[in-house]
Amino acid sequence: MEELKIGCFIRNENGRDAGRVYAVISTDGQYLTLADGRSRRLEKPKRKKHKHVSLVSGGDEWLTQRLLSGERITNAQLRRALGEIPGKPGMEEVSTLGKG
Amino acid sequence: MIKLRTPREIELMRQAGAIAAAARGLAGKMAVAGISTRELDRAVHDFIVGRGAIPTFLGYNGFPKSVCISVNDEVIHGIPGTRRLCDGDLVSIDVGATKDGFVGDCADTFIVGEGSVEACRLVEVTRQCFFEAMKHALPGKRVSDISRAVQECAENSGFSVVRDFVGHGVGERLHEDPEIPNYVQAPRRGADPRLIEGMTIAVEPMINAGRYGIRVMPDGWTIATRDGSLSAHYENTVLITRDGARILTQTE
Repeated sequence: MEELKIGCFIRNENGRDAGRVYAVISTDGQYLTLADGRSRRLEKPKRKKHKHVSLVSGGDEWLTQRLLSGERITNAQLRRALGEIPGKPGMEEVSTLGKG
Repeated sequence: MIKLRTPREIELMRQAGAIAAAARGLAGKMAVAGISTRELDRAVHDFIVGRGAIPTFLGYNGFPKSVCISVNDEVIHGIPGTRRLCDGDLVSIDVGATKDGFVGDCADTFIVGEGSVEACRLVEVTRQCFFEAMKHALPGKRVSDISRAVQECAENSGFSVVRDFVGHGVGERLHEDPEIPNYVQAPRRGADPRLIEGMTIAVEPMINAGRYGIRVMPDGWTIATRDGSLSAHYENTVLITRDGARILTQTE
């Protein structure tokens, strides 16, 4: 089984919200605490067993840093990190630089 | 958003990177006096396709060829065509290969035959800039630590770094977040992220022998130095690990 770290994005494989993608907010033994900033907000996250989820992606750097350092994040920033809202979490200006 | 890669994704990126690196090496060996840049493009295209990958640049935002080939004062994004290489030319070859949904992106600058002292030094310093930057590609450091290393290495050698084009995150797409400038700038909010394990970035010093100004050529793609000075480019796709940077664009 792939290691599920804080900040990574997982898909719930069981239950009535099967298929929904969440971010891992914290880990506690065989349990994960999950939120998506919408149906499961940060103030009332969901607890789920490791074996009932699958890894979607390694997550977002900005979100992971915030969660690991214990800094506050908002539900909107979480939704942005999960790609539900356009734009980048924590970034408000758009660059005009070209890429190599 | 800056994506962090899972072990499976990293393995796929390593496979794509190995193809891109081998294609870059092939183009470097073929870059001899008399060959046209179109012939180089065709050889690299066939090589990439022959290994079950897709040339990433072909059709990217409308780019018409599979490789970016930039000669002498051209910095990046040169379109291969009928131009034949001459002895002493400085040829930058930028290759991207996509395999199983992941991209490997790398570039190097080669000298055709015997180059001038300045050209040889420029190529050497450009590579050195990359490897200086790698010393700072560690978890906990910031993107600006990479930028500073490149800038100091280039400017201490009397060269300048291109400002208008930057390195980038790379993964499922060629250009992802974050931007990796080769110079230190006043950061926009959130534009100087910390490096953390699992990030995959393309670090690509673009170094000019003269001033850093660039111009866009009439084809709309090719970027050349404004003062006509020589330019060199070196790039690898890099994974941030807890033990430091791991280059993913390496031949197997």
